[in-house]
Amino acid sequence: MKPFFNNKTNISGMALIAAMMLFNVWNVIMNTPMVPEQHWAQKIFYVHVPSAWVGFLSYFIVMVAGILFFMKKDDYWDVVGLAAAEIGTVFMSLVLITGPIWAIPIWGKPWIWEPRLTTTLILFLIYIGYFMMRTFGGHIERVKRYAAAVGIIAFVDVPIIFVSVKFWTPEIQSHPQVEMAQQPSEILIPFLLSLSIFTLLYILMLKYRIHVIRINSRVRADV
Amino acid sequence: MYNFFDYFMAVYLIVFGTILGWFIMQLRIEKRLLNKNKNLNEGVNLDGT
Repeated sequence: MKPFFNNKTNISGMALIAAMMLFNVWNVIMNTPMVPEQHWAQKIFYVHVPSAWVGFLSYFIVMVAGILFFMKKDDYWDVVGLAAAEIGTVFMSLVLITGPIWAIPIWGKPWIWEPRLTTTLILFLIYIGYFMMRTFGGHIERVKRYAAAVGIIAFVDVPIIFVSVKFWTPEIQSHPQVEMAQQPSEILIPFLLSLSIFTLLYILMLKYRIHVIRINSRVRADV
Repeated sequence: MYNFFDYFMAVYLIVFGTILGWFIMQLRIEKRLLNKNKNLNEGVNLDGT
């Protein structure tokens, strides 16, 4: 097996995504409007929401990989599920760190036990359990089956997070109720651009992590 | 009064620092595993003897 970045497609993809990400940050700093009462803190939204999107997308891939693992009995899908779970948890950690940083100046406190935050924290904790089970679950083949099952069940929380603002009464919620499409185009277009670039970055990260896990499996098999 | 710019900077440093750190970590893991694989294929013991 060769290093991931020895492949021309991978290295040029990485260079392109890095350039796009630099442009994205420049665009957010220079071209997006300052929102009254939030100023610079509002610009946190351009990386916080795409991080959440990538985290949820990743957990969706864990669920799909879990289903395919049960259907095809192919270890490749276990590798995809593990890689997606790891990257999803990295981004979900970023969401749970950057959200409270935004909340300190806007809400006056870092955390409120409101529906969207609580259900997001629950999802994160489910995945902490997932990794504990991967590490301490015992026999490798049994762990693969359990991990696929947990990945499928855990995804049930994702739609709950999305509709949590509609499930519970507005009085107990602190998240904005407005739809994204109602934002002005000076905010909406840079936001969608950031979302697309984070998605491309995620695809590259997933591909790379799958590559590394497969090398690890091969080395373990050879020892 | 909060300095909104400090919060913005903190978030961007954490997000992009984490992503960069993740890539550095993967590069190091990959390099170590490929060396291990190479040694195994060449019949060299893992302690280098």
